Amino acid sequence: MSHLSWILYRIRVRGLLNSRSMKSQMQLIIFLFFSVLVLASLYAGTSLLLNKLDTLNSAERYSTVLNFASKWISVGDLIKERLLAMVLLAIFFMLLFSNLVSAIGHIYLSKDTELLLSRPIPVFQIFKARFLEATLSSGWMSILFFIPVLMAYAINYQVNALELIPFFFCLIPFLAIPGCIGVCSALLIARFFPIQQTRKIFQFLSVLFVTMVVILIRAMQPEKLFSIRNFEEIQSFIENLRVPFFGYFPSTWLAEIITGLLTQNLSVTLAPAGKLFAAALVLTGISYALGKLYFYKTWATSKEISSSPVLIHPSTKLHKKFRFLPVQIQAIYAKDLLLFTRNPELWSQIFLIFAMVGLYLYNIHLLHLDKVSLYSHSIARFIAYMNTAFVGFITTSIAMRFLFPSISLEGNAFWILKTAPFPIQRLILYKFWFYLPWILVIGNLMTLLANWILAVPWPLYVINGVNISVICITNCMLAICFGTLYPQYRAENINKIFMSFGGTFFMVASLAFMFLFMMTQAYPGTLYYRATVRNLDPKSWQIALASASVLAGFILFFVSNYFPYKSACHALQTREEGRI
Amino acid sequence: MIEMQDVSKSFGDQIAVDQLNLNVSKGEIFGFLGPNGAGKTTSIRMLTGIIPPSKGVIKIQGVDIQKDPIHCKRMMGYIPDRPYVYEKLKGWEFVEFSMLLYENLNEESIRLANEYFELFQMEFARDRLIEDYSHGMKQKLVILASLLHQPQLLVIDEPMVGLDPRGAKTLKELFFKLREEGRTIFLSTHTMSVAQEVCDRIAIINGGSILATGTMEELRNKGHQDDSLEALFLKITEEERQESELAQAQQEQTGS
Repeated sequence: MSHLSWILYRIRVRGLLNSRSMKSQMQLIIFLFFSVLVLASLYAGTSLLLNKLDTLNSAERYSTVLNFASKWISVGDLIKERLLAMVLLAIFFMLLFSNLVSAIGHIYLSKDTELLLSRPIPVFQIFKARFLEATLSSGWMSILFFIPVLMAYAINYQVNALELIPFFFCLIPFLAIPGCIGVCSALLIARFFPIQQTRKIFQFLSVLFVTMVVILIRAMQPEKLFSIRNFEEIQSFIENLRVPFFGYFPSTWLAEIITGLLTQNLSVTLAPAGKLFAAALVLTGISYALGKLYFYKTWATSKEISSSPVLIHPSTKLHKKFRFLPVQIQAIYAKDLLLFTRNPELWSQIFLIFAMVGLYLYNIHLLHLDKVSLYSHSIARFIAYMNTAFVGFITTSIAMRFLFPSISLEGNAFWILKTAPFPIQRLILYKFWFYLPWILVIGNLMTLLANWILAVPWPLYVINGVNISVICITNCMLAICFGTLYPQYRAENINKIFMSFGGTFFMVASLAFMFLFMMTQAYPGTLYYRATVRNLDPKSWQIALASASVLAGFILFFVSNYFPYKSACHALQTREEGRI
Repeated sequence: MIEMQDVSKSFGDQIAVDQLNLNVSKGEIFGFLGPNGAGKTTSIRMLTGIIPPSKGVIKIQGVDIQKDPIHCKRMMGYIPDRPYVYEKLKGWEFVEFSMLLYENLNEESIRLANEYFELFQMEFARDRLIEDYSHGMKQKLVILASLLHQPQLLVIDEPMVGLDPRGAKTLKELFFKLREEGRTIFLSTHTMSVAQEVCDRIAIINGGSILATGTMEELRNKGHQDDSLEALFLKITEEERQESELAQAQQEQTGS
């Protein structure tokens, strides 16, 4: 690495280290704690799954047709390999799209490129630095989340960590390939289209793509891998597993390398490793050639072309649509709606929400409770009860994407509201009421549809409706309050806002509330079930206990809304950090 | 119009503004001068109600901004040093948003907005997204939006930054016009020529404290013989720096 390149990378690293996103050591500790928790959960989940799959390898334990098959093939091992290939394929696709968006951002929209170009640094060095930054910034998180999965595989296969060292070398070309594709695409696109518009379109397309991948994976019904009775002929099942899975994809090559390392069959790793490195080298060469040809030319053009056209032009005088509200609220709602519709980064998230809602209802529809047992009705009621929590979780993620960033999105323009003649703390309530109706409708609609699919009696419709409304209200309040308490006014994109410490903290707080609230509703629910299904009349002390439990739930509801609201109001009035 | 009594502001251990006392009369253009980090912007942010003072009282036309911020903000127009606005709004939409915030979306304000768009030669940009504006255009947009509710007090942080010579001239003329109408302007600036040209009185701040206040004549009479404000400014701030260094050296000597 040349001296100049080293300086360029060091500036970026120093910038990252100096960033003030972690305000205190305590925040850092909490953030690390939750990160470790997520990684540990991934490890534990994968280990559990692999151990389950191992049982498929022990033929004597099965009396089904599997018994026959297991004499000549380890079905469990095949499924494990297929799962590994699927995970790596998903990571590869994620890398591909994040690299595309990230390459456009790093190459054309980095604020310091102009400064660097004015310094005596060869343009190609700057391009190489941007290339590496884009590749690393897109890849590190996917790889970090893959490590616990790999660890689980290594332990399951009883492989020493040292024996996996070649895998880490193979990661370089695995990351470089999508990096090169991203950079080449960015350069070629910028050669022919205005970059500002391209970025908006890609932000939209990337969300649409993720949505489609989620739907596609669900439509494949991966659970069928674990219900072998669905295959009429066991041989076709095994043949199906043996067919190479996207054979020409780098993810498949990496999966083959890992399988070879895990089974300590190094000879099978050579060919895929060769393909991986060769592809990476060729693509890097092409990227460098395109970089030399187009980087400076397209960067300069991107500065000249105006970004005027927007994707959506809502009508002006939008505030008149809110004429029934006080004037200042009209101003804020009209402004928020205009900013929302003109920012693909924001509105494209709606596709993800639709996908989540659709998939959830589809999953419930697939349950086929009528075929389960005589106790289907009690299972349906239990699922309807649990459904409230699951729907609550979906509303948490919606609140996370829309409400949590809403204060941060005021950004550096916050001074306008701070100097305007209205109590700034009311902004919290304005934003809360702006989003709450939508989230209430989504939450109640999903609960209603799930109850209808599960055919639960009407009192449960009411109870679940009340419960989900309480959860939606609290989720909205917590999201806006945590977004106010932990704002990210300078975040370059919305993902950085909700992936911040405050975002994680909000998720934890929201989940804790839902858990505690559902606990308070569990006992009254049990009593209701006993009374209606088993005809067991509750005793007076049981009714008193259930009433106390319901009351505790509503006290929890009040506390979870009131105190965060007060803290957020205080923070908004007295916040002093930053130039807002 | 403005009364600042013993106003202090600390950020942790750091004192940004130390016992500031100021009085600005109605219809006056008051200049607030100081080197970088002197406490000008912090003072302005307290004056406009963005941040509360740690100590002291700020009154706008006799009303304590801490006790009745809404009333005070209604009387004020604020133009920050950096014109951060909502980039995805169009120029006219931002103006309309400002009018709604101040509850004065009426024919008079619309007439005034059109007049200012014309004055600043911004008509062509009315229906363009603000993200396409240059720094100077954004600055002009913020200036005109802050004038539409006809504030009695205009608080401006670095008014000329980013403006082209014509824009700067227009703004100076506008200051004089507003003064004639009896409105007060409180401006902080680094540009000595602007301060010298437009301000009736000037305060020089450094290290969070006011070093000198008065008209140009009064400042000269306070023992500073030079003619230009720039020379006065440099002399006053340099004297203060030497004094504080001496005090620090004496303190260290006593300590050791």
